[in-house]
Amino acid sequence: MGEKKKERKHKFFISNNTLTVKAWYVIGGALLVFTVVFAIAFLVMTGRSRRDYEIRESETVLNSMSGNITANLQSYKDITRLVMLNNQVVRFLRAKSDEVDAGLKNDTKFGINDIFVASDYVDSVFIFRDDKHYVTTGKGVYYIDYNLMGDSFWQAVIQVKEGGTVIFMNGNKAVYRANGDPIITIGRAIYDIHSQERVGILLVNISTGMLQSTIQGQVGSNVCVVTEEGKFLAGSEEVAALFSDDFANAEGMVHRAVRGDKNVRMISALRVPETPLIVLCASNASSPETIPMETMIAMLLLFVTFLASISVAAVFITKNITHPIYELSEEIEKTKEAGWLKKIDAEMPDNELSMLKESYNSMIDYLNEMFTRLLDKEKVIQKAEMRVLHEQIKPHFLYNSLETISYMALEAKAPNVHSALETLGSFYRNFLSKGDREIPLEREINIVKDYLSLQKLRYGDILNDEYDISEETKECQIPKLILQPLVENSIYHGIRLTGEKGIIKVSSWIEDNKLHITVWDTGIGMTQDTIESVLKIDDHPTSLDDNLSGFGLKGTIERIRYYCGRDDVVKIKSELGEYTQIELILPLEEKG
Amino acid sequence: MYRVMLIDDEQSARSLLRESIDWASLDMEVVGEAASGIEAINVIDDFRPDLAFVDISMPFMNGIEFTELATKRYPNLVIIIMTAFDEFEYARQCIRLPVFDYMLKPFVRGEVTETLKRAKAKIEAMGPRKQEEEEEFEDSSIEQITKYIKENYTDSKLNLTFVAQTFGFSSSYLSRKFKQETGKNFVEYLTECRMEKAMELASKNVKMFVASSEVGIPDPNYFGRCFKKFAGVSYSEYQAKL
Repeated sequence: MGEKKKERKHKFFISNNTLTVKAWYVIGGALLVFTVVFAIAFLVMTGRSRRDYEIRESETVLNSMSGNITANLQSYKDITRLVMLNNQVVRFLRAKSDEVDAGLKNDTKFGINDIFVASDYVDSVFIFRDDKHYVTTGKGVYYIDYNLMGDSFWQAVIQVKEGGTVIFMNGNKAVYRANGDPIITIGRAIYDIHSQERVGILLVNISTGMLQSTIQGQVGSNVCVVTEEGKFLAGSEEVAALFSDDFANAEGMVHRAVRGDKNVRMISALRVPETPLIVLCASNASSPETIPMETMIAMLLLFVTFLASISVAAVFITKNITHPIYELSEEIEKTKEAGWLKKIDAEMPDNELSMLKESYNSMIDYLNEMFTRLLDKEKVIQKAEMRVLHEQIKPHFLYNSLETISYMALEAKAPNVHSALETLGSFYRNFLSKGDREIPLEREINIVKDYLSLQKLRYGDILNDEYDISEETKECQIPKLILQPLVENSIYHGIRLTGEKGIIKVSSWIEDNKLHITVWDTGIGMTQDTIESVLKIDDHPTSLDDNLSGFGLKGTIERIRYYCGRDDVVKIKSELGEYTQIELILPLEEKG
Repeated sequence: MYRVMLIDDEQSARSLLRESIDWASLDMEVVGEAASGIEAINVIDDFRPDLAFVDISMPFMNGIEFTELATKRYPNLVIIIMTAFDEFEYARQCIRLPVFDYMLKPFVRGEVTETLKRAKAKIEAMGPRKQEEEEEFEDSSIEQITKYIKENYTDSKLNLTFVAQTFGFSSSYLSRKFKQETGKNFVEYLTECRMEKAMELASKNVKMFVASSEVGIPDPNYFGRCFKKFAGVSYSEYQAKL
């Protein structure tokens, strides 16, 4: 459960992020993957390149070593030919078995020395006659295995190499140094020049010094020469220790990775042709030139290019996608602040975003048009409703009816009924008059008078109305029906609640170029709270419903404020149980 | 005593005005009433009013049409238009008419009395009526006039004053002379012409409202009264009898 939850959360985290963050994630991820792949490729490439380099290097070294050794051996081989032409040697070989003595052998030895005097590293020269008499120039102790020498194997080797030479180690185990120093033996059969019969065998033993001097020209200490059995001959003993048996049987060059103490080294081996010698070369652990510079530069360039393109992509995404989206979003947000459906003005790049902008704007157009249509429709409906209301009232019908009833009252000798109807008619004539938003104060006062006299008819002797209307105010234009609701308020929320007869006084005068009108009553008065709530300026104007449902005072005050375009047009003074005075202060419009 | 005529299609409105105003104290009397502009044109020469209350909205000929006609024929007539606020369009048209005043319905006695006082002052200012002068009257004139009437009685606006003005007499002189010569009142004669034609139409089974227009009294109510007075029976009864 917990795990699942965690996973979901994680998923949520990813999917809930903004495009910018996601883009950065993707770019970051790509960068990481690329770096890893680059590193791996780098390592593989450098590894391969290094291996190739090492192989190439080893091949060069080994071929050169092998070539040098072969050339050296060849020079020895060439010299061996001279042996058969040497008089002392010929004499020794041609002598009968019993003629062979120390003198002859000594002469022969000198003869041989003459031949090889110019050659270095010649350890010893043996010339065997078939009757096993032999001469040697060697110093030191040598073992000579006559059994092996007589062996058909030894003979056969010489015979196979008809007129040629054969090379083997330590005289093919027939002749070798007692102290164990390895020697390279070049053997050949010796034929009589005249009879062309084989008369003996020549063995030239060469010390490993020859190999050492050959190797010395090679770089480093990572080469060596070993025998087929892996026995060290010259060069680096450390490298020789890495010899493996299958090197001897391999054709051509062999490369093998060998795990050393610290690192993996590559060992290359090559048999020197027609010899039991094998040259070994180990790669140097610290090759100075492992990777070609060009490769390095190319790869680095690639890496930098990739980094740059990723950065460019990131900048592109930010500049062309996320930034315009933020702008778009901000513009749309402005609609909320503006309070109406605003179109997007911001410049968008000429791509899908501008398409989005166009679509949004055309939607806004459509919505605005729709709203306008709805609004118009609403207005029409409202107008129709108003008309229905007016139709219902039908002043003409009302007035004619009033006239008819008035006449009936007169005929029936009821003048008071006639008067009442006359007042009612007059009240409605003023009250229902349409077209005028503003009327002279005098007419509004007439409405009030008619209204109050009708109320007096209803409630009997409930109030006295008094008027103190300054002559100069009579023609002042005021919004229609602003006094009647105040007077109505005085009756219903003032005088009637006292249960006693009261007075309503309406006064008007001009002061400081402002029209002052007061409605004063001796009603129950208002508490400060009520006054404040009545005068409070609401953000949301009282709706029509509130207006109709009774407390018309607040609605009237709002209407006056709206008409004057300012809030300080109404003052209310009151003392509980004593009086209420509502004062309207209307700025007079400059005439002219 | 100034003569007042009340022209309103509402019977109660006329009666109320007649009853509720203290005319005598204003040195005025209501001498006649008419329920439409058409009727008013036909009877106005009998009543010879100094002042007329004209309701603006009346059928067949409304107050405005009547006022336009009356101001041409009776330049001294003081006209007070009565209007209700829901007839604002009418009221607007009134403004260009040379009426003395217009009053809002339903009227209040005080206001009416106030207006009448001012009207009286205006009438007084115009001075007494012109004394009739002896005019040259040829015998052939009456013949021409009766011929003119017979040819033009279908014109609903035809009346004594109009004919007098057409032939160049004063209306009072013509009225008197006409009675002398023909033994009949001008209106009686005109109505007789129209009713004779009406009876002819009635016998052809023409509907009353059609006949009333054709004979020059396009107000069927007034036509009906005229017909009954002339024929002794109503138009429909007359048709039924045939």
